[in-house]
Amino acid sequence: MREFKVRKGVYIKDNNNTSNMMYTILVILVFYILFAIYKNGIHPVIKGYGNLYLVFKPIIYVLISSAICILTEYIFYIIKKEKKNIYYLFEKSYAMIPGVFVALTISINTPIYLLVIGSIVASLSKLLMGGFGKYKINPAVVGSLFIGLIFSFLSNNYLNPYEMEIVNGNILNQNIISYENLVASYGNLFDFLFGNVPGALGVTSSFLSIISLIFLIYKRIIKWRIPIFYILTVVVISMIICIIRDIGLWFIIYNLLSGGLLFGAVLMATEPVTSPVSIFGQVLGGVSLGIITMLIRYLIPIQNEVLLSILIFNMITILLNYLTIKLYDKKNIKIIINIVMILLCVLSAFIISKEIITY
Amino acid sequence: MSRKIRIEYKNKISYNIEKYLKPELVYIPLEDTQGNIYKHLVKEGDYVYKGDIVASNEKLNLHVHSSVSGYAVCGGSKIIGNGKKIKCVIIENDYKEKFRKSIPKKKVNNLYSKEEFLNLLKNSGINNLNDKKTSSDINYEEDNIKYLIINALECEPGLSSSKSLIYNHAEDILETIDKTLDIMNIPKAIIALNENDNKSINVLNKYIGTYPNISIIKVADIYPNEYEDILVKEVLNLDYNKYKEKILISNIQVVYWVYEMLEYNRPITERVITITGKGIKNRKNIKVKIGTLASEVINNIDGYKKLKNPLFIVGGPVTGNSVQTDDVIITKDVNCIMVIEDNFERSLPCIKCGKCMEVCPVKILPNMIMENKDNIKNLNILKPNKCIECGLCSYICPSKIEVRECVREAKEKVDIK
Repeated sequence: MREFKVRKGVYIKDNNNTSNMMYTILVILVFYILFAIYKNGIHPVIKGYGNLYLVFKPIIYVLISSAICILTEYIFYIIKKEKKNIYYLFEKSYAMIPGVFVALTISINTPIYLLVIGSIVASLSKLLMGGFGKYKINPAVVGSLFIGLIFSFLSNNYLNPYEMEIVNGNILNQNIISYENLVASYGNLFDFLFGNVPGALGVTSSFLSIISLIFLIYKRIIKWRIPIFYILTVVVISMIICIIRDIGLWFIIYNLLSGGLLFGAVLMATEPVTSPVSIFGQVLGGVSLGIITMLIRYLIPIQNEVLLSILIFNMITILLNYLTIKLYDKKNIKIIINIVMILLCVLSAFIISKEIITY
Repeated sequence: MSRKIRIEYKNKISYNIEKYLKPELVYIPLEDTQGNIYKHLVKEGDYVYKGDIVASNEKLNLHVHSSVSGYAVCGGSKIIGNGKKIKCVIIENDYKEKFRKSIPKKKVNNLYSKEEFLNLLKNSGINNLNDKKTSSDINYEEDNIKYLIINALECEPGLSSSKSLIYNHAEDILETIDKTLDIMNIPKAIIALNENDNKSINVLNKYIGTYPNISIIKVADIYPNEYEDILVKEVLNLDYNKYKEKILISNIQVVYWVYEMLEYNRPITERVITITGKGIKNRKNIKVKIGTLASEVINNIDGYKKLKNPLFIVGGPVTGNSVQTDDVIITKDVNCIMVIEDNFERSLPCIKCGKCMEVCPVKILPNMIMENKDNIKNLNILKPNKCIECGLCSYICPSKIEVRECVREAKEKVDIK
């Protein structure tokens, strides 16, 4: 006779685990950091604008913000007198991930002390809502918007010295829809695809986002329905606007590639904790995210439309998760809601096309 | 559509069946894993012949037979598959394998009428044509049965007892199925086989030509295709709940028991179990007497490997139970014994990735059920009692949460209400 321990549950487990998923996302973010170094550092320096400091600026930003996030979390747990060692912060709480996101989504001209404040806000918003797995709003979005919206007067604009020279200080007016105004002043649509356009520190490369979207869907790490339906909705709405206002098809591609929309769709909206759980919720969430982004982009004159819409989407998520429970097994109501969403798409397209100015 | 999952299991076992049929003591527990209580019919010191009824539950017509001959020793309690300690009747084996002489001679097989056949089944201890926990109510008394489905899929990844039975006894099994069809007046039998199990398919194909009423259907190697509802959907594309009276589901071990019953007029005395896992030196399929202690069997096949934190599991890797000692009675519903290392990761908070919902074969929302564990109003909407306890949610969970246990708790809460 031999004694054994007792353990309840399933005795065979999938290899995939949460750390794996989170660190895959972190590795993908490293590519974005490399891109940020190229876009904001190497490229302007080659063209003869700025100095070598620009090359290291993105990486300094990322290091500072993730260090601040880890430090904030560490101090928070000391104050709360919960015994969490450093291992916990890396392996179970993933303290640095919001920091990296904050650094990548702010403007290149942000002063470092603002970045520190933003990282602290991001980390605190995560901790005060209950720590990893319990927060309702993406902490990175909170931190980034905190800097981007409240202190927008301090962070100037999104342009690095090289772009400043091209644009000649003219800040873009989103409401005047013409190829010359929106696209040609920064190059062509390929520049938009590869990300060599004004925008936040490291999010403008749509090409990188598309590759990571494919990779993450293949690896089953993200909820694929959210980005796909987000993108589809944006395409549909801009297509309707194109038809109504007789704009060229470039407008659809421009809407997809500008403003870090794909980065938001692939990496920020799919943040597992703050996005809808059920399939129904994911589809609805993606569609509403698309509608909100387009409405904010053309009706409200701010530059953080993707982040702001993700913030609203996180709030809608709470409602969607509630609806998922209440509407379980009620197919008819789900169909009605879907039809309403399609109508909302069309309606928002009409509203936007009334507001915009074309030449 | 739920996502299809294939669970790989590394330790492959050969198709041979070894035998260990000489236990010193045979234990007959007075309660089974489903909680039915049995009354013992023998007293201390009685001589028990092989095949005698030792304990029975008259209400449900369940019988447990002695698998050896020898003197009965009353008293003593041992653990059964679900970890409960149960009082047992113990029989000391005298290795003579004596049958009672007054036992009625077997008939020429085809002369059994349906009633006689069913009675014989019950008296042999085959009270349900499916030997698993997931089995439904006994339904073979219905008339007008259209299909007999033989579930030859392994009920869980890692097991290979039914495969090896088919491989070694294909002809007997087909013959028995044919006879059952004749006696029960069923027009068609279908053997559901795993599509990757080429060896068994080849063996069956060799003999199947002579049995026009039996056909083989290959089922994809996807867990949990072996659960009744899903199997019927997969094989016949019908909803099992609607056609419950028309479809009879059985499995290979039971068919083999029926074969022994028809051929030798012998009740259930032996079964094939798989002994596997990292902690076992010689992983194999082995035929044992029902009532043998697992420790005795394992010690007879070279014993354990050294592990840091071993777990002893009765049943397969998904639906099995971890028990506290290896002195477990092998009852007729034990199909596998595993000894594995307890190196499972600690669970993290749920990150709401939605994977459990994607894979759930009955399309419930395990994550929502877990979140609303204390909210009975919401639980009633979410219907946790649809759960078939396949364990896929716990398997897939990246945070290594035991989702199934939570759903099970919720299920009990809803059932009470």
